[in-house]
Amino acid sequence: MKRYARLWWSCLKQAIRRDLQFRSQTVTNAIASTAELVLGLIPVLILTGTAAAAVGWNGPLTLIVVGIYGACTGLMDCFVAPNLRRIDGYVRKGELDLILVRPVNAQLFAALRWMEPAELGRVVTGLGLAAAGAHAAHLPITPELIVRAAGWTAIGFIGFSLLWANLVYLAFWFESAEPINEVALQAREAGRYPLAYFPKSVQFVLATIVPAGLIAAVPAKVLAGTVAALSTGLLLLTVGVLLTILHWQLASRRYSSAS
Amino acid sequence: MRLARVLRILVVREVTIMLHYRWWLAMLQLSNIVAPAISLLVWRGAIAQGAKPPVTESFLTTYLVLVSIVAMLTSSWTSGFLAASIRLGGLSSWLVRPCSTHLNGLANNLAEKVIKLFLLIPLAAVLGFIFRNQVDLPTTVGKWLAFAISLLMAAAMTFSLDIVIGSLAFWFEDVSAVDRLRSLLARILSGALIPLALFPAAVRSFLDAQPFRFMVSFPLEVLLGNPSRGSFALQFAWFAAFVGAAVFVWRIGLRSYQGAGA
Repeated sequence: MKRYARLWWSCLKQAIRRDLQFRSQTVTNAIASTAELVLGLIPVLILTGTAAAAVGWNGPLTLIVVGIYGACTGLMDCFVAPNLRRIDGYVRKGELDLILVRPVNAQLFAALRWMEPAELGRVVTGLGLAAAGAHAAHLPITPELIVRAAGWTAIGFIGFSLLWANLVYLAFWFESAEPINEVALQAREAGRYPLAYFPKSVQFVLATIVPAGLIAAVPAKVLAGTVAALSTGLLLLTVGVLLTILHWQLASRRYSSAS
Repeated sequence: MRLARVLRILVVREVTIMLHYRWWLAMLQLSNIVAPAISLLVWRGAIAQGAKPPVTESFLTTYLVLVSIVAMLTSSWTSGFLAASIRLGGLSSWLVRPCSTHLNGLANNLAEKVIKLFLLIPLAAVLGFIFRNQVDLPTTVGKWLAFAISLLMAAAMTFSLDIVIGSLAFWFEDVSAVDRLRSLLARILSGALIPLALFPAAVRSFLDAQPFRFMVSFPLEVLLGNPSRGSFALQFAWFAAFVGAAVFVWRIGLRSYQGAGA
């Protein structure tokens, strides 16, 4: 475990050095990442402004959803997305060889090797938005509520990352799997909206198979006082982890390597 | 006449090449339909629960069913290719030919639209079928003709803006971040995500005047509504300005080009 922590820390240092090499590009990406969050707020606020009374979600509560969503997806785009976007290339060009020969867990290393620290700007902005929303909504925020909400966000984060990973593993089975990353990113957008706006069947999908709804909508409801047991989420997550490991093992057997 | 012949040959060549990537393009179209489908679901969900948006449910549904097709037809992916060809010196091979690199870019864009249209229409049709009770398409030929003209101008505007952004590679090593910022702005301001008619009245005059509206939203407004003649004139003015800017930036940039063999 300590070895993996050291490895992860080395990857992070390398990523920061790389960003410092291309400073103007990094700054522009950080601005774009934050702008993405602010611009993404617009459609949700318009929706809430038109339909707040109808579904019981007001502006401040929506701000919490968008804020948590922005912070969580910022983390995902920093630590997870840069790796998943490369899996297709690893398989097509045979670059996976260089990962498989290392004395580490190849699946874990392929999922955590690359990082884009510029995306972390959205984490700060997102948490700021969420805090402003909680303040405006006069929510009685307690440490216990924050821990519970963070737990749900973590389940959503890991759950959606697992789904995304399983989708990109299609690269082992099909040659043209690269745009699946775009499909995953677009599906993730559903997490930006409070779940109450979706039909019941879609709400179920967004809480289980495509857990975009767990990233922010459920944590925001937890902060607003709705009790949701973490055990169901943890159970689903365990199933997801096991299936993803199995999928990697089956898929990597198909890998024919460059050498 | 010669240009048309060359364009036809280039388009056929590009279509042949792109047919190798048909599954790749099919998956890309799937991602294009997901965002409007999510918008459609949340807005229809809100309306079902009593929300009262400033447009009719039928306008909203038809708009969001068609928006992926219009956004695809008016899109352009030239900037990345153009920037790479300037950066890596590939432009040199086009400069010595009796055919512009932009004609090749145009052929590439036309070819991808032909293939993508075949792939996207069935997906949009499925979405339209699911919500068929609220999809309301006009039956008058005049509307479809005006829509086609507006669509052509919108596509030309996007292509010209792409040339401007790609041409920045004459001065900057990497233009991808600028492209990302443009995409972000366009996503909201063009109406590709939600109709501009849903925005608050306080920002409507700004939204109606800014250029991104004429790249996606306006052709749909022409098809589904009754825009004023002033709006048509404004689209033409933006169209002329974007084409002019592309020609200007390209000519200035070429003077500073230093590619292999140039």
